Formats: sequence, structure tokens, C-alpha cells
Amino acid sequence: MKQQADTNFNLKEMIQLGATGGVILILLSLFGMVESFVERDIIYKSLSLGIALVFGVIFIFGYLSAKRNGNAKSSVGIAAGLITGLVASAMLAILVYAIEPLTLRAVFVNASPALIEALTFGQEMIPGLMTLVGLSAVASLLGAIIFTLPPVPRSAILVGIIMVITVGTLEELISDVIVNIFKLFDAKKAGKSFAGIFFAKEGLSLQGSVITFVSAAVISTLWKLRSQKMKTSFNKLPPATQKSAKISTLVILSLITIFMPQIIGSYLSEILVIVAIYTLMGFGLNIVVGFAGLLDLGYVAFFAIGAYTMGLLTSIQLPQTTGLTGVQMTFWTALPFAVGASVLWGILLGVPVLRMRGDYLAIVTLGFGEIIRVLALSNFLQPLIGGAQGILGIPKPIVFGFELKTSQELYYLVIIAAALAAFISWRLRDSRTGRSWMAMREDEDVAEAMGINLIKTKLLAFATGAALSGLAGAIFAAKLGSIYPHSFNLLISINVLSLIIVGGIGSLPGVVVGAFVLVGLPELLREFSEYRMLIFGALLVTMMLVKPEGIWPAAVQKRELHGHEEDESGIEPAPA
Amino acid sequence: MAMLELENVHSYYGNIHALKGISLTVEQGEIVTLIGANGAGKSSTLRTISGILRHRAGSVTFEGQDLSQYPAHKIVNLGISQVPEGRGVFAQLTVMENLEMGAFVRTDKKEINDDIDHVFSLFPRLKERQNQVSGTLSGGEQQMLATGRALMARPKLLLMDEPSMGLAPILVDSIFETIVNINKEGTTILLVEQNALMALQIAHRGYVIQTGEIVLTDNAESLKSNKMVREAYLGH
Repeated sequence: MKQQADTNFNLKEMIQLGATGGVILILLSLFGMVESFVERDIIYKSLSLGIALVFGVIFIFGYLSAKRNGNAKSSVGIAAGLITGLVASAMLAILVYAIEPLTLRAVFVNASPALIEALTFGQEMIPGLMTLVGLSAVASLLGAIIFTLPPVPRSAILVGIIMVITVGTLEELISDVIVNIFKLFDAKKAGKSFAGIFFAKEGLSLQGSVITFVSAAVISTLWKLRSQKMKTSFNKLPPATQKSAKISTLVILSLITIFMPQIIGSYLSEILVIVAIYTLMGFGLNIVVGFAGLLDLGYVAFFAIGAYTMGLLTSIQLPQTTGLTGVQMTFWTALPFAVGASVLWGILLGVPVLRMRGDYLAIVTLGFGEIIRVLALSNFLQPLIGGAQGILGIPKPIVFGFELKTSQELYYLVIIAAALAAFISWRLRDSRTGRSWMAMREDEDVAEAMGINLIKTKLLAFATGAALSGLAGAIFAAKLGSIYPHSFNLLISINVLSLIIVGGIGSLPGVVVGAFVLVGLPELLREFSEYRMLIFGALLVTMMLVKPEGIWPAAVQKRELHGHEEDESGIEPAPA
Repeated sequence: MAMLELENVHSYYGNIHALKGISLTVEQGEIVTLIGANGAGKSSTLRTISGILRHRAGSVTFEGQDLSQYPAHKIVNLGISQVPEGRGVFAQLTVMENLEMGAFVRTDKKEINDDIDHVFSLFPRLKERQNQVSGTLSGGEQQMLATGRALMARPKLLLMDEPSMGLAPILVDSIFETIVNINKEGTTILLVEQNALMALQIAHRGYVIQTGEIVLTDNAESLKSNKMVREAYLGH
């Protein structure tokens, strides 16, 4: 009893944590993730993604258990990690053992012989399971030991491991990028052989993984130790040198931006274009929700209006039912109309909902979004906009006689549009209008008493948001060349809202980061399409638990959610 | 002519008849207090004056102008500014940003800065905390901020809604002291309070409101000694 109190040896908690890990492992196995990921090698012929998943979970739980129990004494932490890992792996082992006698496969399709084979490492049942538990013990011990290390080597090792897994998983894309970079300098062959050092037929080669691990660990350590020093020594440089250093950084960054499509190839360019379109919408919704605090769930409506206006005005192949040839404008002539139409509808929606707040506003806008989609799909408007068949034959934008056909070319258009949106948001945020949006977000009555015209301020927020969404829609229509009502469903509104929340509501860099995480990542994970949404959902839940203010929060939100911790020292207990 | 004049004002929340014919006047340079219990209609009276709540009958005139012809956000331009109930600071903005919001309708940058200094001289506490997020201020500091913010519009008439609410007695004293100072600088004040004793100590005149009607009015001294007021609000 006494010993327990001294060392905080909380056996119950360790076992509980282990059981949580065990449940996660069992679920991952029964969902079929382990089985299908086993096919995919991170390190060629040595480590598959499926096995990495199993031991990764055990590693993490070992680490967590050490973190909870080992603060006082590191030996306790290591023991805790081991116990947690053993409990978790034992549960998984029991599952594997029970699959056949209980004919679990009748219920769980994925509880297959292949799963058993993967988790027993191709051995007989008993020795195989012993290997599983043994290796798990090692993994959890590693996790626990790493926790007990001092912070610098700890983070170096963790960064190394994460990088090996990331690079190994994205092997195909990364080796393409390497080859493309060499291609820019006309050295495709050298690029191939360079990539060959790192990558095997599938995943990293053994030496590649060692190099990746070491270099990631070294770079992250140097970064941690030196960045502060570098900053101070940089500030000591004469201003002229500082300035030229800043300018050259800018030049390098813009060169990278310009050559990006060539470097990353067509597949990644496609992803980047989609991310940029979402970023554009994100900036718009960020004004409405983030700055002005008006929760709009029907944001996709303006995206659709922009796209359909673009389609109707430019299409060379309008729905046959119309019997019209259409006006066949160019992209650039139609663009102002597309944006204008969205703004108009933004205001039309804004007027009836002026008196609504919060949840009620959300419901009304939700309805508006659906109305637009249903109208686009309806028989009533079919003669004009094609119903379910949509509008085909939308031409690509032409710049100085050059047609922007592929994603690698359209990239420039969307990047410029997104940059413009970022600039507009940034200027508006720091303007008088931005201030009145924020005051309105905080308290409408008080804002009005301060002399803010609520009607004007609200409508301006709706209109600006709609304009950016309409712009995104117009580009989207030109990019695809054809549009269908089902491209404009509720999920887009939700995605855009989620990306600004995940990025950090009200924050401009947050929009970009959010778009990469919420739109780019699922596209990259397309390979694991079956589990894409599962991974994604788990990520969102974790994210909101761990970092509710977003990945790159606006100063304001950071203050609100973490302000008390930081300011505590400065505040005496409130006397009131 | 009185600075502010309410005549037989009726206001509603939906079908709820909140003000049932309120008449009151505030003269230039006065502190007038409106005392009454919870739900008597004190805040509704202020909301009606500042235009957030619209009266359906009667008239509200300020310096001879009918306020019903102005939208709420224009009324501050006429020189009426409000310290809202529960303080209503913009919690996510800093103290400085809150004060700047108070001067939203003004464009005279230099004079705004002078006024900020003036507010800081009234409330030195705010100067220390000027870059702090106002949501992390104590209740007393938030009350100071709300008052300072209202002053930033350079009001002729300041409407104060329960400045003593939720504050420790020592802070209430200092807030009321500041109210007197603000008044001495020439700002007329209409003060709504539940803390009738405190309010009557600094006010020139007072009105007692019950269930949407004015039941009593007199100068502050007489009200303090009035039997009904003593029993209902002063507790003895």
C-alpha cells in the first residue's frame, strides 16, 4: 500500500489504457485496415504499413502510459508502458486466436485467414502469437523508453520515425517529385538513380529508411537547438544584409511557386488546384463565419451560382432542350457576371435573415443551400440549365492566346485567385469594416449602440463571402468543363466550414493549412480510399480534442482558449 | 426644455407589454436615477432610448429631436451613449481595441487619442491592462472598460445600466465616485440601478419604476426618506 503511494504505481490505469489500445487494435483489424495495409510496404520487404499500424498503436500507448505514470520515476514509466503494451497485444492475440473457433468471419468479413497470417507472421498459431506479443512488448518498451529520454533526443527520434513512415507511405509521389526536380535541370537519369538510392520497388529501401531517419532526426535537432541562435545572429546583421536576405528568400519562394507544377507533376498539381479552390472558398467563408460570426451552412449555394453562371454564359454546348446556342462568352468576360450573380444572391439571402442569429441563421442558410441544389436538379429549370445532365462544353480560360488546359496550367490561375482572396481578407480584417464585423460577432446590441450599422455590415459580409465563393465556382466550372448538380451538395459547405475550424477560425494562414489538411490529405490518401473517411474522421476528433483553437489559430482565438494559462501570473483573483 | 424627454412610452417584447406609459425627463447636467426591482422595466427603458427596442406608442425626444426617426446606430451620433447591462465588453478584443470601438463613429484621430488618455486618467487600471484581452479582466475592470468605451463617443448623455451589478462593495464605491466625476465634467447621466441607496446618494433626482410604470418621482433626498422607498428598496 505504502509503496503504491510513493511511486504512483497505478496498475488499474495502466491496464485500462492497455485495454483502450487493445480495443483500437481489434477494431482496426476487424475493419480490415491491418489486412489491406499489409500489402503495402513502407520499407521494402521489411516493414509493411499494416504491421507499422499495429505496432504504431502499441508504441503510442506505451508512450502515453509512461507519460501518465512515469513522471516521478522513469522505471515506473517503463514498467507502465510494458504493462499497457502487453495488455493491448494480448487482446489482439486473443482475437486472432478466437477467429477460427468462433467463426468470426461470418460476422466480420475482414477476420480472414489473411489477417491471421499477417498477425502471426506466417508462423503457426501459437509461436506466431508469441512473436506478436513479444514484438509488441518491444514496441511498447520503446515507446516508454523514448518518453523517459530528455526532450531533445526524444523529439529527434519521434520526428525520424514519423518521417520514415510518411516518406515510405508516399514513396510513389516523392520519388516522382525527385525525378521532376532533376528533370528541370535536364538530368532525368541522374534523378532516377538518385531516387533509386532511397526507394525500392515499393516503399523505402533499407538504406533509404536509415538515411531518412537520420537526416530527419539531425535536421530537427539542429533546428530546435539552433533556430533561436540563428534568429538572434540574423538580427545582428546590418539592415542592408537583412533586407537582401529577406528579398532573396522571397525570390526563392516565388521561383518555387512558379515552378511548382513542373516539380510536383500532374497528379499533385491536380490536388493542389483543388486545394486552392477550397482555399478560395475558405477565405470567403472565413469572412462570413470567422470575422462576422454569421454561421452559414449553405455556402455551397454561391459556389453553385458562380459555376452555373459561368457555364450558361460560356458553354458552346448548352442543354439541347434549350434550343439556344447561348452567348458563348469567353471565361474572362463571363467572370464578372459569375461573381456578380453570386454577390446578388448573397445579398438576397442576407436580407431575410438579417434578424436571425446563431443556430437559426445556420438552419436558414442550410435550407438555402439545398434549395439551390434542388433547383439545379429540378425539372422546372431543366430546359434552361439541363437538370441532372448539367451543362457541358464549358471552355477553358485563355490567357494571351494560351489555353489553360491542364491542372499544371490552371494552377497559376487558382493560385493568383487565392492570393487575391488572401489579400482582400487581410486588408478587410484590419479595416474599419473588419472591426465592425468583429464587434458584431461579439455582441450585436452593443455593436449597434456603438454606432455600427448592422444591416450594412451583415450584408457586406454575406456579399464578400459570396463573391469569393462565386469566383471559386466559376474557376471550378472552367476547370472541369462541365458541371452537374450533384457536384454542389451539402458536403462542400461542411468541408469548407470544417477547414476553417480545423485551420483556426478567423485566421488567414489557418485557411490555407486547413485546406491542405482537409482537402489535400484525403486526396493523398486516395490509395486507401475505403478507409479514407475513417482516418479522416478520427483525425478530426483528435484534432478538436487536442487543439480546439485550430492548427494555426488567429491571435484572438489563441487568447481566448489559452489566454488564462498564459495570463494567470498577471491577474490577481478577480475581486468581483 | 429638458435634454431627454420620454412621454407616455409603451414598449413591447413581442406581446409582452414591458413599458406601460413611461414618462420621465432628464435635464442637462443632471444625474437622474431610475430605480426598481428585477423586471420592472429599467433596462427596457434604456433600450428604448438607445433605439435597440422600438417603442410602439408615446414619444422619446432628445434635445428636441424625435428619436424614433433615427435607426439605433445613428442615435450614438446625436450624443447618447450606453454602458450596457452586464458590461458587454467585446471579450475577444483588447482593452485598447474596445476603447477604439467606442469611438467608432468618430474620425478625428488625434482627438480620439486624447480621449483615450483621458479615459486612462479616469481609470489608471485600464492603462496598465491596455493590451490585455478584455475577457480576462475582472468584473470591476470590465465595468471600467465599458464606461470608458461609452465615453469614447463623447456623449452628452450617458446611459448606465446597473454599473454596480456583481461587484464588490469597495469597487462599487469607486465606480460611483467616477460617475460623479464624469458628471462634473459636464456629461449628463441617466443611471439605472437596483442598488437604490448608492444611486440616490449620487443622483440629483430619481424615478421609481414598478412593473413598467413610474410610481414615484422626487429629488434624491426626499426619495431616500420616502417610506415606501425605504421599505421596498433600502431594506429598513
